[in-house]
Amino acid sequence: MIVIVTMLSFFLDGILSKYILPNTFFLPLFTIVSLVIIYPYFNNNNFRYFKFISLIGLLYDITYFNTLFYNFFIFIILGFIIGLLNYLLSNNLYTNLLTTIIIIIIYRIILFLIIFIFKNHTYSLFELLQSIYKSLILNIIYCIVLYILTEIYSRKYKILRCK
Amino acid sequence: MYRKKQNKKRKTIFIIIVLIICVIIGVIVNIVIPNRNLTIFEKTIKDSVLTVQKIISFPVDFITNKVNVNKEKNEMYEKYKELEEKVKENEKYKIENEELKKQLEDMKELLNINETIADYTYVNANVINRNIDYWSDTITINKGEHDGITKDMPVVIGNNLIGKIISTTTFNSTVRLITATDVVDKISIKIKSQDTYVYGILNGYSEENNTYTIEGISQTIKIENGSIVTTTGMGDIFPAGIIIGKITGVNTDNFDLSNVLEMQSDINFDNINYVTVLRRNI
Repeated sequence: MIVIVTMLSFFLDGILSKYILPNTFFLPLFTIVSLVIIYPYFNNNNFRYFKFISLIGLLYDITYFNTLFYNFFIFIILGFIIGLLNYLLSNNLYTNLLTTIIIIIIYRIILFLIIFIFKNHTYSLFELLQSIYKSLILNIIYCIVLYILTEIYSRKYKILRCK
Repeated sequence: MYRKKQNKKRKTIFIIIVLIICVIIGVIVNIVIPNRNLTIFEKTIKDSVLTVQKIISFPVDFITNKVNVNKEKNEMYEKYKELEEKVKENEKYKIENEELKKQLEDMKELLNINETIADYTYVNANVINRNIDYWSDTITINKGEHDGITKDMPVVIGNNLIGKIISTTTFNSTVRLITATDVVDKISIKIKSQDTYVYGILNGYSEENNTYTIEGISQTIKIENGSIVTTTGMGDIFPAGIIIGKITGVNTDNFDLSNVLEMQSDINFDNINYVTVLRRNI
């Protein structure tokens, strides 16, 4: 199930980028949402989780960014934060939504900082804010849908997950 | 117990070292060499993943195409009438074109110009996906090295420039749009002003106003709104004569020494589905 959820989100990111206009309020970051949803299904086996998300990060790099070890590194940072939030909070729909929002904000800030520091571009903080709020609506909806679907599936097939 | 602790410590140190190495490689690859060529490993993975994506998105593309075809069918009669008029005009242009071609060949020989837009073959391509990264304006198209596409080839829609190829795999390519603010190579342009051409440099894009800035034009030269901006052919990437846009505003710089022009493109960069790559004839 973990692989299906992640790969579905991964491909949806690519397919929807063609149909969703960049200036709308519905920018997809489904792969990142899936990192939040799949965490409990690793049952606190963090090493396996980090191996998995770093592989997804590398795939994300090569397919969509033409880069190497860029999202790989960012995904590992996000993984640490997801792990920490799951350690502090119990796992339910509301905490998943909160984690998704925090992760999207952090992802956008990291990308912004890397471009700001290393690539010497003059993007304003307002543009950073824009990139964040444009990404929130669609990804929150996707998080809810994905959470409900994985809940139903895991109950039906009795797949264990940490609470 | 002590050995277990030692092993855990070693494992953590190993992971940290691997991460640091990855970050260093990442920084070198992305920042120090931003225009690098993809390795065979990357090309293979990218092609395989994008092939799966094409298969998955096939039903969506099919339905979207059907809807678009139906829309176009409704406007068919009006378009037919328009085209009939254009065909009549074309006869006249055909004769003119033959004459101009001859003149162009003579001029090229005289001036020792290597490339013009006529020396390129048009390769049509579909857009597979757009940039997922918010900050860079790129699109991926379904034509690659297999179709003769190489790095730095210009990409157009109609006769309007939209960008250039920045990386290729066997079956796909990535195009950096001219709306990207991180375009490393500035584009040399010319503007028709009365009977002469004025030369300048395309220097940036404002997303807010959807306009480009053109700099390096003397204040003494009068340029009217609506003047067409084309490429000059200097710089070996873009051939001469590709339209980039039209002038929409003329301002002066902070020191009142030169003109700063505003230009707008006819292309809607938010909705690009089909593009043409200009492949050099060797």
